[in-house]
Amino acid sequence: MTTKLIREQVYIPGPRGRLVGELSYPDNTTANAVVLIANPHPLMGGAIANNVIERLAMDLPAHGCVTLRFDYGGVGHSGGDPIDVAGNMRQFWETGTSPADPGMAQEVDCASNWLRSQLDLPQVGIGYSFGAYALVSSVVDRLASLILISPTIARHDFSPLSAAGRPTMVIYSDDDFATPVETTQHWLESLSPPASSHMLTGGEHFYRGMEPHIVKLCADFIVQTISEGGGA
Amino acid sequence: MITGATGFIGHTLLADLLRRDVRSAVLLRPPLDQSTRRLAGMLLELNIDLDEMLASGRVILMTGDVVRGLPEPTGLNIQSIIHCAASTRFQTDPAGEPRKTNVIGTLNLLRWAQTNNINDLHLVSSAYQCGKTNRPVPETLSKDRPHFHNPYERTKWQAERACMTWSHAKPDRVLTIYRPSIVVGEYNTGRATKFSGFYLMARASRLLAEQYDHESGNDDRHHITLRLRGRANDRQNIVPVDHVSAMIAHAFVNKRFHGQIYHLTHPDAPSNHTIQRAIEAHYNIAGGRFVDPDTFDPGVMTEMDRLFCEVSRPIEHYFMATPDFDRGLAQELQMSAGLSCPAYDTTDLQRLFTYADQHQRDRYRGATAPTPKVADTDEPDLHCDAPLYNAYFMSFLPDRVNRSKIAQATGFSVTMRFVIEDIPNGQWVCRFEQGRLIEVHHGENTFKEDFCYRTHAEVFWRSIAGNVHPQKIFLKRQARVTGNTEQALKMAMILYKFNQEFPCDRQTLMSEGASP
Repeated sequence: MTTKLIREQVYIPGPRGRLVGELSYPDNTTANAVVLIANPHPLMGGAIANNVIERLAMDLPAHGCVTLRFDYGGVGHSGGDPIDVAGNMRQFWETGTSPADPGMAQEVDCASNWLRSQLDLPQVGIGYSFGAYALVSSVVDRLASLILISPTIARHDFSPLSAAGRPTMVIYSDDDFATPVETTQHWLESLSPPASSHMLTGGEHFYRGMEPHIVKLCADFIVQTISEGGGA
Repeated sequence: MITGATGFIGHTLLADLLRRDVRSAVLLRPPLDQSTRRLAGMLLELNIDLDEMLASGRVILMTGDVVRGLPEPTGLNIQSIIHCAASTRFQTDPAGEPRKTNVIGTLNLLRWAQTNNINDLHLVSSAYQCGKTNRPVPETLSKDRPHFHNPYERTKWQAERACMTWSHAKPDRVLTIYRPSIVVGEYNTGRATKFSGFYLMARASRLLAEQYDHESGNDDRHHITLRLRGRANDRQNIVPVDHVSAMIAHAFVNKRFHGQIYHLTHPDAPSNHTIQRAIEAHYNIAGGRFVDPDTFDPGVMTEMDRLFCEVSRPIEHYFMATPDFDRGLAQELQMSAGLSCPAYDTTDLQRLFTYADQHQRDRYRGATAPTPKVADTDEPDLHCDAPLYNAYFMSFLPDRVNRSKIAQATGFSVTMRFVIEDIPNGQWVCRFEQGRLIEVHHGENTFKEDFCYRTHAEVFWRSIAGNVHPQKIFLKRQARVTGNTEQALKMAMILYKFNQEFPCDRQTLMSEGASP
């Protein structure tokens, strides 16, 4: 209950301006890995204060990780024009994708590079919802391992994942609005190398109240893959 | 992890722990959104912003109940438990309380601690677990089963025994027990959230005073003939909740104080005579007198005597036979914390009665109760401004949506239902076509909506003022969505932009002709 967490605001150069993020680490433990956390889509509550993102960022340090979460450009205190809801929502309403998506994937790439320049440790990526796509489409080759939470496989291209062949864990719910459970399971069966997976019952897409369980699953996976020498 | 955090001691202690930077997991009963709102209201009165604590990770909420079921093992790395959850019913009720919570609940918690490998337990017990005794009560566990005044005392003793057995089972387990006496409101303000026990005598006096209030011209109120069973010089061992909480918090964060039993009792408790004078001064009555229980003749009771006996019966032994509590360990703790248990004179006692008179109701109870009002604010009564909600949905919303840039740009077509759960008949269905609001219906109906938002009045007003993002409200479980969740969340983004484009509050609606 009394573990001290150091939280440091950081600034990352990005294509649309400075990205504002937060680095979190324990003050009394040696870190074994750095974890880059990619947010859901800003049009669906994707910000560093998101319930899942926040818990991962703040609880994984107790398991020997440094975490980085950041807001995409135009979100929160990150630079760039505020997200154009009026301009993006019509397409987003219909398809769940927006013209801004590639730019946000590029920002994940910037964050990964910045993190690598700061800390010489194996880098693990956690992408939640749209963030899973942003990770896979930009930095999958550079990660020691990946955790994808509710990946938006019905809406985005995840083909770079198999090509990279990184240890991967997928967390999904049986009632996810973004991707029917059968679609996710079929996709999991098609992955080579195979990914480990956990289906959470009743998580919808938002996992409200399930955050501690998700943190535990992620911590166990990170500890396991790092101890098996999954550095990249 | 702390249990009983929405209780009188529990929420005060949680606030003290947070002020000491103790990261706390809070066990709240389901449904979590209601318990969270209740806790948030209580903490706000102590200047703690629960939202902020949740956002910074200093508070983590867990759903569960020591009786009905504790949460599955988690990855939270909980190191200690502070067990505040308790039933303070003196007599057994049909639901099986106080045994159910105090004994069964504690046993459940001990099993949970074992499963989760938690070895540091802090139990908030009661000084009165000692039962009937004429000897000084030591700060140790009684080996012999005492004779008890009531089932409450018995269950607190049983809970201590169970915890002691648990702690002896493994050498690395540490048990710390806090035994407060009669816990009353904060010393400086009288603030309390519970008005049983000690307050019963004041409540009986208020009833008596109100009788005289209704009999104008009657000056007999200063010559009442009330007899009270008890001795004037006996003491009622009351302690202010803020003192109890500060003592526990200090012990918790200083490990050298772990593993002991502390009597959090008053070293110089007020006498029955002082309390009587305070009550009489407060209610402007006089003339009551204590009669030694040995000489009290119950056969000649007046109506007034009977009224008092009836109301104060559950607690009368506490003003007839207050044990002498050893305080050696508590004194050491108190000195280390730099605290002292403040003395009570009649003025100090009257603060307790004043607060109780103003707040004597279960403010935080009830499944659909509105969020509690916060002290020093002037929040209107939610049920009195019901017409304002109608004005918003039937007038403000259609007018502004049809002028809204964001609505026109996004051009959505959807039918949505809003339900404000703590407002009578508080539901509206809105049908949008191509970003224009073309129909609104009030009240229950059979319209088929794409999705429904359910929330509470306080959240609704914050939302339409543009102060909070509706997506955040949903993710923080202050609102529920049924139906097409994806559309509801996308719509929440549009509403956020709309609320910023056209913020609305009660004043806005009233200025446009609505009346509360």
